[in-house]
Amino acid sequence: MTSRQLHPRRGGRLPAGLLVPAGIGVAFLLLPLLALLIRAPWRHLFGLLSGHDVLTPLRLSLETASMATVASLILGVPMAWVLARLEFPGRGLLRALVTVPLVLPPVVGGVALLLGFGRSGVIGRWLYDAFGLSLPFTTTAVVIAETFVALPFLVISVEGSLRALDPRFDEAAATLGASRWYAFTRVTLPMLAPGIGAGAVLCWARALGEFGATITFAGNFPGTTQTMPLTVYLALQDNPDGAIALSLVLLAVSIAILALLRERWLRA
Amino acid sequence: MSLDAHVVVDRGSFAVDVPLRVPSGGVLALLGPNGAGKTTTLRALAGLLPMTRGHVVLDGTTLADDRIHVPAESRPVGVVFQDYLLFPTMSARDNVAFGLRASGTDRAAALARADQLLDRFELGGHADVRPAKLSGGQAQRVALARALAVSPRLLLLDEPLAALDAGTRMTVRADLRTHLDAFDGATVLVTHDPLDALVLADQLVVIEGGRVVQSGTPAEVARAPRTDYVARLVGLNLLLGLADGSRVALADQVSLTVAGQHHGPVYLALRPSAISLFAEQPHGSPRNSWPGRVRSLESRGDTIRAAVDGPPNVLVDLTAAAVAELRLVPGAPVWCAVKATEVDVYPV
Repeated sequence: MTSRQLHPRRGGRLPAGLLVPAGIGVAFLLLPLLALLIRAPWRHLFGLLSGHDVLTPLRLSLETASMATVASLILGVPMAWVLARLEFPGRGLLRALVTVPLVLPPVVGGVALLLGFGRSGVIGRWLYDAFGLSLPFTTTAVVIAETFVALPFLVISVEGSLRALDPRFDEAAATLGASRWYAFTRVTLPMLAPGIGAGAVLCWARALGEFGATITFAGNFPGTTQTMPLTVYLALQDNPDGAIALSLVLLAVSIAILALLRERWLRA
Repeated sequence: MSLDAHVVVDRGSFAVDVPLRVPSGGVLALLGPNGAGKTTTLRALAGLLPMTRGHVVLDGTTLADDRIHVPAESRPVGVVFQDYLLFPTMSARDNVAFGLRASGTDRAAALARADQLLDRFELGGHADVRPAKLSGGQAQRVALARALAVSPRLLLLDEPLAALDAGTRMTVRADLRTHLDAFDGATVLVTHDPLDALVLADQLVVIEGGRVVQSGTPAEVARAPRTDYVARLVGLNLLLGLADGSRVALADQVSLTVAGQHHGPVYLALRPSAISLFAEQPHGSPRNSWPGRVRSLESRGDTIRAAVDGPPNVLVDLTAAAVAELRLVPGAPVWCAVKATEVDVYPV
């Protein structure tokens, strides 16, 4: 087992100043999850889960997160292309603005969405007057809230992949008579597929866990807007064991996502 | 004249001003040191880089001038990039079919044409292979087939052999020559390797610092280099011969001894500094000697380049002291000698 010893890339003593904080950091990240597993009421798990209506919020969460991901792909891939491949004044500013939801507290995002798309909001009022559409407190609102917070993840991820891609492939395509659109769909997109896949999984995971913007903009109505994170939070008030059981379900889903990403991250 | 171009690209600190004329079927080599503006010129011809001034006229059609800029995708120009830029997500066949598909040819016809081209380039067995699995020489041929698939009127090659190792380069170079001979459009080839230029091109344009310093046929340029760079670059004696073992028969019943065993048609490359001149037939270590007559002498810095008529005709670099000692003047009879190990052999 000697080969299992820690080997830094070059010789010399291992720096304790780096190893100790790193170890504490790993423990800090893993211990709470371990606690969740230790305290889980494994024996009553099925009873707890069947007592709760788990399937409705779980299905709602999976569906809305998937729809938010599709919406993010449709909007985000072109956004990433514009940011990575077009030269125009204010590009840096636009990139900064697009990534604001990354750093914005999700509750603030929810309030902003209400002011924008709420029935008396800037766009919402017009939507209601013209089409009789009211978005807040509907399943659509959940998808909008999730897209709002998850889209920047996809844009950042895809833009990074695009920048790593040699733009001369586009030039090669152009010299062969391909229009920019043809080159994008036939050359760029296939080469970008791994980056888009990773971005989509990140985006989906972010949407699945979305809480603050959802509860603010979409509310908490069982069956239409009560997603898994909302269900867990509410269960914690009166039925902690139920909350743990629901958390385990979400943890399982998250680990499944990690398994999907293992090719990219765990083997690096 | 198939290609008539004057490429002017001015970027403040760096300017390129290169006129080029290539007849149909002609191959022009753009030769120059790194940063001379070779690739910039090529990109401007392809339409990938806007020109500041000048014009590009191909087969009578203006592709660029003061008012017109036909974009790259609308120019009948094929490009083989230095690192080929084969699309890594596609098979060799789909790479070759790409241009035809992009211009609206239906899938079956495009793939049939791609298969036909791959066969011609002896790549029939590699049609389904991704570029990553191809050898350097194979990738180069796929890139050439891809560029030729759309029947361009102008073929641009950017350092087509630079990405290959020395061993493959020889065979690929000979191969490329065959394919260029078969191409009826104009070809502009960018290279910094004089051997590429001498073997592949029938016209040389040497650029330094964005400007043409010399142009002409390879023989003209080699005989009278105008700058030291050109002299070093094209000062190669290139002889065509037929090898049989270590003997290579040249024209006029002359033959040279070379190192190693070779068979079939070959190029012999002799550096002018590797050839010695003697007043009488030399005896001893040099294995090759032949009589000649000095045609001209030209001073270039600290060396003097003598053009000696053989056969074979060669250029010889001498010191001023050697010229004085041998009393060399135009018309003087001399003996040329070169060691077998100083003769580089390249299969044709």
